[in-house]
Amino acid sequence: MGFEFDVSPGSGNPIFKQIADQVRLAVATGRLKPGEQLPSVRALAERLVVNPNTIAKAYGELSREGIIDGQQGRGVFITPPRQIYTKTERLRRISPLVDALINEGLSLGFSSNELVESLQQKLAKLTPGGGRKTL
Amino acid sequence: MSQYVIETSRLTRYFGPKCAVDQLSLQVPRGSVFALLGRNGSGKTTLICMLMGLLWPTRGSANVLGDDCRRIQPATRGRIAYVAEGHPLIDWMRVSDLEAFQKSFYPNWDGGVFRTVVEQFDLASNARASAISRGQRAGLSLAIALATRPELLVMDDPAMGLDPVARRTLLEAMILLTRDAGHTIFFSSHILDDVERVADHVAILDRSVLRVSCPVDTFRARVNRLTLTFAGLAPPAPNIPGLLEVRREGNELRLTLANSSAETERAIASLGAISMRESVLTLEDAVIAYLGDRSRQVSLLEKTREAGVIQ
Amino acid sequence: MKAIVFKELRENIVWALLILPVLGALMASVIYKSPNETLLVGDMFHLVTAMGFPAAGFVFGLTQVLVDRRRGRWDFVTHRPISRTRIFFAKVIAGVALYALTCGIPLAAAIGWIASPGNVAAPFDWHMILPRLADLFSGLVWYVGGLLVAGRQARWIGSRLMPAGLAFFASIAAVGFAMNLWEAMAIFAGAIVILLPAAWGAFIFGGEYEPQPLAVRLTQGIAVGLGVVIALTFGVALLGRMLDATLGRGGSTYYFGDYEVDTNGRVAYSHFARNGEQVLTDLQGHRLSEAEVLNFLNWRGYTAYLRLDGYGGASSMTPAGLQSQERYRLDLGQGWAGVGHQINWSYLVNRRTIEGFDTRTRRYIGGTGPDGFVPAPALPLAFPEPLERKDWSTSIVWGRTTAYELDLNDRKIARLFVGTAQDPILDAEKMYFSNSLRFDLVATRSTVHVFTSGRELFVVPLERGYPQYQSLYVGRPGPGRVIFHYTGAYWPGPREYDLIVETDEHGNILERMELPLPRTEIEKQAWWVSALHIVGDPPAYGWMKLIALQTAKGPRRTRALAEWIGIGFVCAIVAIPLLRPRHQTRGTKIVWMLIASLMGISGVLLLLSLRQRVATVRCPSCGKQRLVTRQTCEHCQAPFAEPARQGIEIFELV
Repeated sequence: MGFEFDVSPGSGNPIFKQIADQVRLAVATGRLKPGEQLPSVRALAERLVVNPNTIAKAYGELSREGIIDGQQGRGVFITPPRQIYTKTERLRRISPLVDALINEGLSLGFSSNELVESLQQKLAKLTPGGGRKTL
Repeated sequence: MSQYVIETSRLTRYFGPKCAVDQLSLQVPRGSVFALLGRNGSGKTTLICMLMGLLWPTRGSANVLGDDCRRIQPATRGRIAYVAEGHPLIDWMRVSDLEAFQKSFYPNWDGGVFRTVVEQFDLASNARASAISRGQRAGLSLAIALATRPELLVMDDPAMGLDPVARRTLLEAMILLTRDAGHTIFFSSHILDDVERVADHVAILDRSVLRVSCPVDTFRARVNRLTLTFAGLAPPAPNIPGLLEVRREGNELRLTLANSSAETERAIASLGAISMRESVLTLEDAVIAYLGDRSRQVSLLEKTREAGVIQ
Repeated sequence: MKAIVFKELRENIVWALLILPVLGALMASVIYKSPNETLLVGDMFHLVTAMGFPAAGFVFGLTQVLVDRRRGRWDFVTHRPISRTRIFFAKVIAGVALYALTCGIPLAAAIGWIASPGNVAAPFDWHMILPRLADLFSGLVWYVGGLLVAGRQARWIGSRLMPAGLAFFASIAAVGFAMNLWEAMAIFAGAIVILLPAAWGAFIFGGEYEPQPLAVRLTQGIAVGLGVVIALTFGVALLGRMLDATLGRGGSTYYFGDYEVDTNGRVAYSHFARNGEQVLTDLQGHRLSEAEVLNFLNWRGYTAYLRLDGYGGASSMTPAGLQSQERYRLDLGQGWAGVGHQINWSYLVNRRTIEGFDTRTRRYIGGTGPDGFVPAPALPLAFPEPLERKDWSTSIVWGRTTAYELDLNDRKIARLFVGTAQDPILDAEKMYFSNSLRFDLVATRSTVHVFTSGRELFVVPLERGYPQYQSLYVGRPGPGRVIFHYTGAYWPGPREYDLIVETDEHGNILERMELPLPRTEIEKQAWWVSALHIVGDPPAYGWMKLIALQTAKGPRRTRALAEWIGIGFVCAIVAIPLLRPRHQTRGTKIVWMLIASLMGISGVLLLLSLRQRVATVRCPSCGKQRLVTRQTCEHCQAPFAEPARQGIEIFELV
């Protein structure tokens, strides 16, 4: 299991959320591929020196979102990509973030072109392989 | 089997005229890792001593693994491991002496666990307990505690005086205990990062009164921090229900609140701030807000700046 | 439990290693300094064992508890699946074993040395081990006392040492009253029966008094109470001493009259004035001249003194207890053996023989029974009855029926007088006069026999009157005259009359004079002595005295009674504000008030030593102060309210 988790207590984010966020990000950027195995709750707890219940909570959330799938006795695996939201829903979810980006960028004095360029650069760095494909 | 390994009912202890623990009612669920927080002198050690039957309650009662704390049976004691404040040991004994000594009392002594923990702390078997470092003492105490495979591990400020490496090993040892299902850890600590890592329940003792006893996530969910911005200088202490801490810096007012309700929101709205945002709140800050002096409104730094003491 | 025993042994052996050599060195130095006495029962050795063994025991008791008393150490040692009682007894086993070795080894070595021939110029009798065994056991009482002293929580600094008072009392009682070893052991057993449960209770409950069971609290109360009484007695005595020095003698003083006979047979009356001066007047009351006084003062030097009350022997001043030397050996002085060495002669009480030891070879050289001397290695025949001798003379020894003349230098013994068991010998004395005339006197219960040079001169009946005479002075003012002066006591004391009988040298009575004595003047004790007694003595003691004695009648008795009751009452009242914040039930309050009224100031101090102040808070419903230890207010039965909520509490059970 090559994936490196990195938790820092004392941040504003609860640990279970940090773990869940890291898995989500890794899956979104393709660092974690479908079918890859994650450590068991106990193994991860002992590796990170964290209460197993915390790991269980993170895995529970991810499992509810359909990102991972834990099979009794067999381990925890990344699920194949599967879109659970409609496009409208997805647009609805992303819209406030886009608004925030635009507002902040313009108030800092960036032009529209500069903003778009920045976005493209970042995306290029993150998804060498193109990221997750949706069905 | 009871759901709770420790139950207290209005447990009270006075030292002369001073009340150290005031009518404390607490339940520690089986299998939890339960952290007891509080300022120095808030009664944590007194509480733990009463639970372990070392101090007699002035009033009230407590049950530990089903036994009244005033009369803990030897058999029950065999199921509890207790590491007192300062990791006390018998100083003249060597590590091997201590192992032999402890082993003679516990038929289910696990020598493997003992040796593993002892090795992790770099303890030679002929090292004398008086001649080892603070962290190694903690490790030795821990090794002794864990080797009995206790159903309940009680620790009073186990990380006190430990360097970061030793502290980390301590945490690892605590996680190790959680391998045994249904085994509980009850400990007091000041190091909130470690508490965040390993604890799933937390209790806060505020000047001898218990004010919080809940899962850690509940605590984090119910305590939040708002920063209000004002046009002019921020107004002084508002009477907001559930207010834990107030900080005034210039035209900003930072409120830390517990149990926010509709009434809280109304009270905040009536202050007339021009903007309000929810701030990030670490566990440590939440606990500090809880335990700090609620009447204080400015930090030390702000006070000295205002008074012109330090430019 | 075995592990605890070994831990205790290992931790406390350092004390054993410190104390054992000290005791050994002390014993060795006593032996070295005086190799010519029966050391084992001698005073110096007794001092070492009577003080050293209790000190050792006390130290062991203290250290065993104190070492584990520190907070963390206590937590570690008591938290294990073994009851605290077993831990306690493991400690006691280790402590007693260490104590026994620490004190027993030097004692055994000393006994071995003393018992081996050639080391000490004095006889050894195995009975002499018994008092030292008693001392060894007394140390055990102090050991348990030490456990209690260290184990209980002391309310005020002075009260910590109080239980040692009981151990002290047991030691003193055993030395003072025990006639036999078993009696001493009974006293020690009694003390341990009280101290051990108290020490156990203090250990089990971490020193806190209130959680202990009633019976155990009672034993602790007795132990501490006795200590308080002893401490108070000492304090009052000390105060009395100090006041004595500054204000002058406070105690009661008696001024007696007495009769003296001079070397001419003249009788005078003697009187001690207030300044201590002795004033002699003739029977008409005229003061005597200086020259005349000298004759009188010389008289005592020319008399034989016989004690008629059964306490005539050297060991009879008080009954010879277990710890007194005279129970084992009467020192018969030293005989000359050659240049630079002597023979130490002793009468052994248990063997009933007289034995001599050479101070140079330190070996037995011979001894005597009733029939004559036998040289070593033979042992003499035992005397058929126990013997006595005078405190200051060894020329005559006597038993119940027979008196012997003893010459240790010439090694001769001869029967002087043989009487009957129904008329036992009371006392005997040898008297030398200036013209080398020698009288030997033997007094039985009914007669006085006068001998000279071994043959009987005459017999006179022993005068018995009312009150019984205790002393008889026999003197010879001149040829043909013998004076028998019967008087009340060895020390001048209040009595009604003296009797003087003059006889000739054939026993014919020439004159009898009954001389009445005026009433003894008693100067009452100073007011501050009475005050100290009233304050210091427990009221119960005063009541018992008054009821038992019945001597003081009328207003004096009533006044004394009122004083005792008054003090008892005052102490009970004083106890009330002290009781309030300490007790929960009315029953215990009444018991304590009773204790305060019977024990007086000691009772109040005991209350302060044992009972802890309990905090009180104001009850919101009735406004009065209420004890925090009770679930409900004792005035209005309202229960405690939960601590006030501040709206920030988060309680959630999973």
